[in-house]
Parts: sequence; C-alpha cells; structure tokens
Amino acid sequence: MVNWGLILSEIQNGNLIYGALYTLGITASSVTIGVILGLIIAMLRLSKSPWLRLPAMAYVEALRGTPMLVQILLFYFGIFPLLGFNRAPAVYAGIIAAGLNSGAYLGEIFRGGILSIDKGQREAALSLGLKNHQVMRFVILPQALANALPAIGNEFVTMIKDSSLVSVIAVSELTYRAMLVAARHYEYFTMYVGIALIYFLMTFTISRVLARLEKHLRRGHVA
Amino acid sequence: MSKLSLFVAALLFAVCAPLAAAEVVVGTNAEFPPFEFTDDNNNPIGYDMDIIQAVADAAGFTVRIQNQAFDTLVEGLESGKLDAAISGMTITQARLQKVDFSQPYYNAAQVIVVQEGGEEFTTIDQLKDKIVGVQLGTTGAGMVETVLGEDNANIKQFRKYNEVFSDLKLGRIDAIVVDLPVAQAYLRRLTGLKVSSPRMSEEEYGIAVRKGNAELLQKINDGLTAIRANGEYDRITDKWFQEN
Amino acid sequence: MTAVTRKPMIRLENVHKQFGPLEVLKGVSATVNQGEMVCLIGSSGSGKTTLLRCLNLLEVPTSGSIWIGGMEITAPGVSMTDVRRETGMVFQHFNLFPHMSVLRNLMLAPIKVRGLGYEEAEATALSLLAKVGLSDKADAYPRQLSGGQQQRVAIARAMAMKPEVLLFDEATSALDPEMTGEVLKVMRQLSDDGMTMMVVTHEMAFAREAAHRVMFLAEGQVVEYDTPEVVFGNPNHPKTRQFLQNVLKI
Repeated sequence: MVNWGLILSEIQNGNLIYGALYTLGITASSVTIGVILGLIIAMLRLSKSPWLRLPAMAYVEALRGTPMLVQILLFYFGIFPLLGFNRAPAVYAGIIAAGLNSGAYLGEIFRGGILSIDKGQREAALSLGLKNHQVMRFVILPQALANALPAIGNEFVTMIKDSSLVSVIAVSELTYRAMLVAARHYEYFTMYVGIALIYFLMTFTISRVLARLEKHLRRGHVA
Repeated sequence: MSKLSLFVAALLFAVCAPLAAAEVVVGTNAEFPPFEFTDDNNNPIGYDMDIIQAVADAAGFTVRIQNQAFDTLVEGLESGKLDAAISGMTITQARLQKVDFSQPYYNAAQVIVVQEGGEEFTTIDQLKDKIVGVQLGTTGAGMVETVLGEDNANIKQFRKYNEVFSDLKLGRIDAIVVDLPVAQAYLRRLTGLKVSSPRMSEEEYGIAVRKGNAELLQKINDGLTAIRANGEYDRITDKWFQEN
Repeated sequence: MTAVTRKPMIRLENVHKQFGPLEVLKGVSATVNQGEMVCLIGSSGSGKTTLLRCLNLLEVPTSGSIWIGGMEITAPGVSMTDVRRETGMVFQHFNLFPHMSVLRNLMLAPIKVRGLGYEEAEATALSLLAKVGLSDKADAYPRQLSGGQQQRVAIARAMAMKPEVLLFDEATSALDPEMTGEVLKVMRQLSDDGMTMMVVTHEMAFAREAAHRVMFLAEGQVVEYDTPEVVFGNPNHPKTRQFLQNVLKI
C-alpha cells in the first residue's frame, strides 16, 4: 500500500526536508509575530480606555471566530492585492495571516497571564516609586510571560500543524510539496502517510524539548 | 403508517438505494469549463457531463456524479471510491499505469495564457525562468515540471483553476499552461488575458476506470461508439464548442 | 529611642476616604514626628490599613490633606512616584518579586527610579542585606527563603530607596511566631537608627515596648493617640479599654 521507496527518495533528494524546514520557518515567523502582536493586544485589552479596549476585543473575536483557512485566502486573494502587494511572495501572505491569527490566541493567553499575577506585586512595585509602564515591564510581564511559556510552546506545536493550510496558496511547505509529488506519481496514500509521519516527528520532538525546557525553567525558579 | 415510520422508510431507502441500483459513481473536478463546471445550484454541468450521461443512457447504466479535487480522482479510482472519472483527463503513459482509459472522446491541446500587454510566450521552453501557474496534477503541470524542474518554486500549483487565473490577473505569475478549451472558457469571463501560444502537445481525453474493470470499460466504449453512430456525440460537441 | 525630634514628618488634616457608599476614614488628623515609631492598632475594619495606604497614595483620600516632609502629597499635580519614593512600604505577604534574586529585588527601584548606577545600587543593597542579617542570601530567589527571611528582604528593599518614612502593613501577620521575632527585631533596630515608621500591627507586646506612640483607631476615627504607657496602662476612652480587653484576652 505505502510506497516507502518513494518517501525515502523524496527525503533523500531533499524535497521533503526543505518542505519541513519551510514549515518550521513559517511556524517560527508567524508565532514570533503572534507573540509581539499578542502582547500588544493584551495591553490594549487591559487598557482603561474603551477606544483601545474595544477594537482589540473586536480583533480577537473576529480572528478567533473565523477559520484560518479563510483568513489565509482572504489575505492572499483579497487584502494583499488591495494593498498593491501583487508580486509579494505568497509565503508572506501566509505568514502574516497565520501571525495575525496566532496574535489573537496569544493575546488572550497573555491577558490571562497578566491578570493572574497577584495584585500585591503591582502594589509593591508602585510603592517603590516605579511608574505604571515600569511596573508592567519589569515586574508583571516577566512573570506573566514565564507563566505563558507552555502556552507559547503549545501555540508553536499547533502552528506546525496549521501551517499546512498555506499549501492552498502554493507556498512550498511540506504539505504542498507532498501534494505535488502525490499528483505526479499518483501516490496519494503514500505521500500523506509520509508527511503525517514527518509532522508527527516534528511536533513530538518539539513537545518533548519544550517540556524539558519548561522543567528546567521551573527548576531555575526554585533552585 | 405514522409520519415517523414513513420518514424512517424514506431514510432507509435513501441510504440503501445507491447500494441496490447498479449505479456508476463518476468522479469529476467541476472547475474546468466548458468540460465541467457548476451551475448556480452547484450542479456539475458541461461537455463531459453530457457525454457521460449520453454514454450511460446508450449503454444502460445510471451515473452519480461526484465532484472533487482533480488531483484526487486517480486515487479515488484506485481505492474504489469512484468507478469512473471524466474530467478532461488526458490519456498519458503515467496515468495508464494506474488506471484504464476508454477510447478517446476529445482531442485537446495545451496553450500558454498571459496578461494582455505583458510578455508573450509561444513555446514552453520560453517559460524556463518565469513564474508559471498550473492546476495540480494536470497535463499542463507535468509539461511545466519537465521544463522548469519538478521542485522549482517558480511553478505555482493550485488546486483550483479559479485561483490560477486569479494569480495571473493580479500579475503574480507570468503565464498559465492550460488546456485550450478551458483557456477559452476563462477568457470569455476574464478580460485582459490572452492565449499567446499555438496548440502544444496534442492530446486526447479519455474516461478513466479502475484498472482491470473490463466490464465497465466495455460498457463505456460501447456507449461511446453508439453515440458517435447516432449523432448524439456531434450534437453535444456542437452545443459546447460551436463558438470555436 | 533617642532620635525623636519635635520636627513633624507626617501630618494628616481631616482625611476622609470613601469606598462607594462606605466611609472608611471619617476625618483623621494627626502628626508623626521625625524619628518616631507609631503603632496603629484597632479591630479589623477600623481603617488603619486604609490610613497607611493613603500615606503613599496607594489609596487617594477623598478629602483632607496629608504632608510628608515638607510636601503636601494630596495637592493637585503632585507626582505619585515622587511621593512613593519617599515612603517605603512593607506588606503582609512580603510581595517580593519572585522572578528576581534577592539582590535584584533590592536593586530594581534604585536603578530604575533613582537612576543609580549598577555598582552603587549593588553596594547599597549588600550593605542593607548585611543589616537585616541576610548577606548570604543575595543570590537566592525569594521562594528559597523562609517567611521571616522574605520579610526582612522586603524591609531591606523598601530601605534601598532611602525613604523618609517606612510604612508597615501587618508585616508579621502572615508569619509563624518564631519568625515574627526576627522581623520585629529588625524593625526595632530601624527605629533605633532614627527611621520614621508607621506600623499597623496586632502585636500588642511589640507596640507596648517599642512604639514611641500608639494610635488607636475605631470606625475610621482616631480614638486615642498617646504614649504606650497611657494607651495600654491608662486609656482615656472606654472603646480603647474594650478593645484592649478583647485583644489581650486572646
């Protein structure tokens, strides 16, 4: 059933390896965007001004309430052409769409993380004369981010899987390359089994590394 | 009989009917006008749909059309999800290793489509350093891969022709390699595009069946022979291609 | 108990504080002199913690005026951070920053607020740690310390800003009895060095022995404000007597 020779040869000739690296690159870029955007969103959502709070809330709801596939298509075929980025490589549209999506999820995680910090921390910092933004930067955020690290890792693993969606705009990541090989050789089952294994290898390895890293960080906190 | 039991009976019938009747499940990718595309109600229509219906009528079987991605049709036949496929599918050596084909029912050719006023290409070799759009798994994709290299990132392969043509309109790609009748159908709907090459790579479309399904293949070939004899084939061809 | 002068360090004039419909402070007026340690006592809900928090504007008084040093901190346009760097605060639950080492806890505000250089801040921090007897814990993290040690670090952290006034909000309430002693010892030592201190406490023995003056609050008002000898030995007001009877019985 499964033509292992084809999978091996596509790994040996680098095709699937590059595809996997591409997938990791897209994932890293979009999660980076997501983290930065998530921080901004979390700040805005915690703001006292409704002019900052409500748009951020609308953003989160809109992005969490629509499929990422639709967001990617919308970006590539709608928003990019509208902005005049006709010749911009599709991968940018994919990364930005995925990053915006990630930002909405991480924004909520960061907001929760910030709210979970005991208010005594804020009071202690204020009582030492720190300004509000200094309190946030030096006292609240480092703790909130440390608490959010597992969630960021989780988002990374999720994004490795979800980045396969950008294959629809012909970005040559793992799924797209597998689709091409499958169509060329009429070996669909083989290729999808092949990349399922590669995806699993990536997510499993990264989950393990993250779990170990988290343990290490926690130990650092205590020891 | 209560309403509920009527409903259950109807449901059972709906589920079992396809099993009972000698129905032939025919796969297509209805994004390939005028061969197959969808009407306002999402029903597949087009040249191929009329042909398979006429063949079925002549050979005495019923068809159920299954609309799916082009690059999944061969797999569908292999795995038994489909009995036949008619989808502007060129008879190639590669495909013949996986499926059996009926006698040819249409002679097609690949052409290059470009933006009006942009660079024009008359041969496939001129596309070597260009960005070229194709539909995944098509003959055009194969031709372009031969010239540009299989894993060349300059080949943009989409699952839908709509997206390929949309990219050309936006100037993201330099050219499309596509079957001529399909190009003509899209050019009627989209302005600013033109066919820039002569007919390349003459080829024949056939109806695919699962490898070794000689019984169905025989029926389809008989049907094709019959409709060529009784004038139905010409009538359908005129209906869809008379403008050309 | 030598450093007390007649120079007023803290002055409150008719301070009111209202939370919604609830009036917690109902016109508090009092003066604390430089170098004085004043213990605030009273049952819970009497307003003593709120009064303390008004002194560094963690709560903003609804009306009335407060002076610290020469500055009226309730005047319009006064920067809260200017006020807060002159008044250190020690909390019931220590509130050390868990993601920083002990040394970093002490250095953060001097560097970020006072603009001190790294070395100067470090030197100050180390000398303060020596003072509270925790020199060996400079590189430890708060979670590795006992409650009493954490609170001594918190005191050193407040001192690192070289404030004019130190505020203690039930600084020993969360501690086991054996750790309470070590914290009270540090507090007494600070007082001996001449620090002006406002101490909200349930430790009546400490208030009696160490305070220069004791302020008894009930229902948002100062009922009695005098030397420990008077407040504990011969209180003027029946409410004070009642309160002391209840507390000392337990």
